[in-house]
Amino acid sequence: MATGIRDRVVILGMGCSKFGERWDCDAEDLMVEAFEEALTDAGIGKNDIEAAWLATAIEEQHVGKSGVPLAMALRLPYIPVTRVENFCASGTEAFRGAVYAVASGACDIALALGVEKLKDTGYGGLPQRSRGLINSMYWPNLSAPGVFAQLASAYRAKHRVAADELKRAMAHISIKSHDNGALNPKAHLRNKINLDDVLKAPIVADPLGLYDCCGVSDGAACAIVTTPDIAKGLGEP
Amino acid sequence: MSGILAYGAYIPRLRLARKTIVSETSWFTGSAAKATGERSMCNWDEDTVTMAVEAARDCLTGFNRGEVGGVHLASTTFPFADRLNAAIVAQALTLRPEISALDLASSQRAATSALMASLLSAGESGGATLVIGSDKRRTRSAGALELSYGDGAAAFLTGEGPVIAQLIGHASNTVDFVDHYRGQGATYDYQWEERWSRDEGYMKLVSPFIMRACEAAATDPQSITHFCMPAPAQRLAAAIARSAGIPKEAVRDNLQGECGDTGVAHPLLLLADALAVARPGERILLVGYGQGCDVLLFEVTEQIRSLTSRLGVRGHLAVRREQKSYHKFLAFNDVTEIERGLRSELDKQTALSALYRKRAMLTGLVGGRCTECGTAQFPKSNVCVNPECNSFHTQDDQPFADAPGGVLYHTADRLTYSPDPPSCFGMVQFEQGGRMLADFTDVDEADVHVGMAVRMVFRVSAYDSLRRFTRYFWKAAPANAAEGR
Repeated sequence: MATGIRDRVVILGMGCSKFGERWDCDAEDLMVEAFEEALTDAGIGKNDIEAAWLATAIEEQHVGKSGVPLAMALRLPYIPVTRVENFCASGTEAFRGAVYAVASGACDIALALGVEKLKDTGYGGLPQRSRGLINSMYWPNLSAPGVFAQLASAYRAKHRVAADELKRAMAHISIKSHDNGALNPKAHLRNKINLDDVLKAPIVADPLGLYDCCGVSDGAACAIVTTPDIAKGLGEP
Repeated sequence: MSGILAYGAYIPRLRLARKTIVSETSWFTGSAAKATGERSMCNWDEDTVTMAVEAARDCLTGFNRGEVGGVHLASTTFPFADRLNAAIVAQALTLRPEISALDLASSQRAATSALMASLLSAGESGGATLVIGSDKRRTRSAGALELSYGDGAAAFLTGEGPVIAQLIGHASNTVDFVDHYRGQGATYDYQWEERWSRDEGYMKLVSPFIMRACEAAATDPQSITHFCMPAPAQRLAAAIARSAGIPKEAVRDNLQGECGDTGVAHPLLLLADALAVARPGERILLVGYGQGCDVLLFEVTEQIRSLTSRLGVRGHLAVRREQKSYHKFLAFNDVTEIERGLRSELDKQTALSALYRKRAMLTGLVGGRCTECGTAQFPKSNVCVNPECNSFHTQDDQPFADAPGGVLYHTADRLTYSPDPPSCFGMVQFEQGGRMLADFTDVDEADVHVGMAVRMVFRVSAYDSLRRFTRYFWKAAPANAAEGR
């Protein structure tokens, strides 16, 4: 009978790069930037890490396949490095892998790192890429905003909400996110916006406008996880 | 009795007014001539094959497709020089594989020659023959052909059974008379002077053979009630009628005002238009012209009264949307080079092995129906989609192409690449069950709404310009338009 992993894993350190259009950086630079911060935060040495998970979704745009890019960038010798991909949830997937490793007792300290270097395409928005051999033959050629935008029409029809009313309600998501971004020195977009900005922005995929869609950023984030006992031994509260 | 069992037509929804063309080109042509009427034009995702499929669907209304034993597809604008275009049409129509198929090309009379051959050999082939003419001829900007041509297709089912028209006489002649040509690899037609073409060609090469066909059928040309003469100038048809002794009231409108000259399809289009109004006992004379001519004389039978109703020529003409941008017409036909942007550069290579493996699904829009729980689903899969069932390997083929559906949700995507942005797509829920995420076509963004009734249509999904491969799939079009809204 499964008992779950509650109370069996703690985060020892976190780090993240500055997000944005990092024209001066490769994915490798972003990984190191996030990792250094996490390492300092964790107060451990690089060689204390026993296993690592790398998350990246659009690898053909930067590092390529496998766990090797992480092992190379951080010079992680002789430890297992696993690469995971699950679209925008890829980072969470890496984190889950590291957490499971510690919870299972397979290792004491594990690393999860997500990286995406998207701005080397030459155009705005997410990179265009194949959706798979058969899928590409019968799916519409949809953008990421186009995928999610469809839900709005279904929601409107189901709950009988007027188009402008839904648009206004959704606008608060982006206003909130920009407010948060303005407070975060590492955020890509640090400007506050108001309702009018959102409503008047160009439409990307009806009814989603520019501000309803997330910016496309370069960046990396990193977590180091361990057991509660080891954390206490390292002086963590 | 053998003869024509059914007819069908297709004319693209988009129409370009000739005055729109003239207003954009008169700076060069210097032409102040009045430009009347409009020409049909393919949407960016239509071509000879897709139009042929639509015309065939119209033709086969009320018929069992299992009875079709052959497909003859005539055109001078096949998307493939070596790949049986008729086979694409047959696969899209989900005809049985045990049929014969022919592509006929190289002349404006290819379709009448195909029709004549199928009528003369009726009974010898295994089942009825589908004869289709379809053409999408490209023209240079500011030329006369741009004004007179149009895009379209027409289809006939020939064979034995309850025929609506019987071939009672025919004649052909073959002369290497070249008033225009399109050399191998050329994009556009090269045309000689119209006056010469009229006096030495049409006027001398057609009439004697009309009389010969009438003699063969012991028919007085005066008894002809419908004269289908695909000449771009209406008065030319009248002059030929006069010289052949056909009453002038019999000369049928050449559709120049409504859609223009649809090339190989045109004689068949005129015949389909005539049959839509013809009464039992009436005689129809059809001419196919090009390096000589084919003359076919038909007598309409009582069966015409019981033919299932179909859109035909007039029904499709009524489904009309004026294309006001001349530039868009040029762009759709690749006459002008559009900056398509980096997003359009995605490699569109088609894996031929996968296309073959999935041919029923991708070309025929055949999905599955679970034999355990009855759930219809697209695509057909190994495991039933119904979470209450999830049975393995229980699905039979379930066609979706003719299944009515409605829009469940949708968007208009301005970010993704489309030759005609925004890209409209969404989820289609079929009345028979099953749903699929589909591109929408022939829609105006503002008209799409949840619950909009749709009809699936066979269209170009992508063109791989690197390898010159046209990839087809099915899209959702507004159903109301097809009903002649």
